[in-house]
Amino acid sequence: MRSSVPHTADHTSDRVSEKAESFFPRLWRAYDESGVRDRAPLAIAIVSVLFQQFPQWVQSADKVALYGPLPLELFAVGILVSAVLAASARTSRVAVAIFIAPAVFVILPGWTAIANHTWLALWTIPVAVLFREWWKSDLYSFYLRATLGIVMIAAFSQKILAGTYLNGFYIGYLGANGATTERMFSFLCSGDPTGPCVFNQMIGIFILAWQLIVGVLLLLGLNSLIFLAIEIGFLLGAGVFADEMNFQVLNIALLCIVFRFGMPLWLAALSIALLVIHLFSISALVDLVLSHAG
Amino acid sequence: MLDNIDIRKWIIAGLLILHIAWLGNHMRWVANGEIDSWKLGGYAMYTGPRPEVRLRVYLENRPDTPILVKKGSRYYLATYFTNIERAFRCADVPAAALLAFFDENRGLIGSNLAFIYSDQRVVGDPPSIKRGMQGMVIVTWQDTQTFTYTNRFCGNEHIASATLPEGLFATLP
Repeated sequence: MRSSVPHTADHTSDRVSEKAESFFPRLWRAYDESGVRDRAPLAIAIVSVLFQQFPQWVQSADKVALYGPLPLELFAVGILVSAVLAASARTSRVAVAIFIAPAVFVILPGWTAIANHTWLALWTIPVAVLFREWWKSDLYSFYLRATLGIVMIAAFSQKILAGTYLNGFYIGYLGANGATTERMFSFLCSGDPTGPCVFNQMIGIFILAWQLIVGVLLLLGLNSLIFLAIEIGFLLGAGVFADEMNFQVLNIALLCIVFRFGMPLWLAALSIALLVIHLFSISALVDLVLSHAG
Repeated sequence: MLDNIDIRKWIIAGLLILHIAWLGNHMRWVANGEIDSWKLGGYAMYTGPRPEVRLRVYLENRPDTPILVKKGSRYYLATYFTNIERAFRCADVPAAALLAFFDENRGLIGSNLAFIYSDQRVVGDPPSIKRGMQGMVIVTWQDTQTFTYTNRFCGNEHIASATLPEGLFATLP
């Protein structure tokens, strides 16, 4: 009796682990072979808009007063449905058309207040409706490449125009006034955190160089997967620093379409996880951990 | 059918040109201090502090006690489609917003008011971040129905008058 119980338990756990071992490779294979991997980036891009917009909708007294809570919830469901349908070859184009409805009726009317994330989504996602199979279209992929290249160079130019990066001022400002993650480099500079500091300057110049180089390389048509991997790494790093994962997930998803790489299952799962984490904010989670550790 | 038509190339080219033009114009607005750089799709977030626009309304005879204007009130909704959160820093507050304000605050009809807007900006060299006045609207009543309002934003001054609608005037206590 004594010996049979552990034996049975071992047997059961073996079966469970065998099932698990066979389940995940099968899921992975089905995901790749069905082509969902190719269409997942657009689905994730649409989901990122939902995660970016819906919390703002329900928190905005203006928006709630104008539309009422129920219509806002219905439009959010519409975006979610569109994200799910975007993953299927049969319905992907319809999904983009569905996405356009909340974009026109809820997002665009507040055009003066919407975040840059949403602007980028509006410049990119609805255009997919022009293509029956957007995931196979060279033209759509070129359009996204050119758009992202232009956006990176615009972000670089705006920082030069503001004059707050070459001197490290803005990094110092974040170090002194930002959220927990934005203060991660503040230990490098002592004294007045907004005063001159060579480390803040170096970080500022690095960000400028990164945005300019990526923008130029995208426009030149560089198609290396190593470049994609490095860029995803940078985006995630920047996302952690700025505590802004939403915009990064959108960029990563669009880059996966640009490079015709699709979105591996692990990256799709990571993206969803990051969007959920973003709801709570990384800084809040870090603060929580630190408060328990302290 | 649509897949075979080359018009898509023209649409793509048009969108790219439009996007570049929009970004160029955005930079011009930012350089002139006319807009909130975080907004309007110019990708100029994280170049300066979030402006965090603040509105305080003061009575002429009680300058120490600001009146609260709630978000979601018709004063804000009047500019929802054109300038919510004052992304256009230099734009005038329209008569429709002021009329909506008095409709929701009928007890203030006849009181001279100042609507003061402030925001955070990077100023000076070496740079620093300060909250400063973005602009104001001065409301002066001419009689029980008509008021003059003076918009002062970005060094410009525009004076205009507005009259309460008949319906609103009729319901006054």
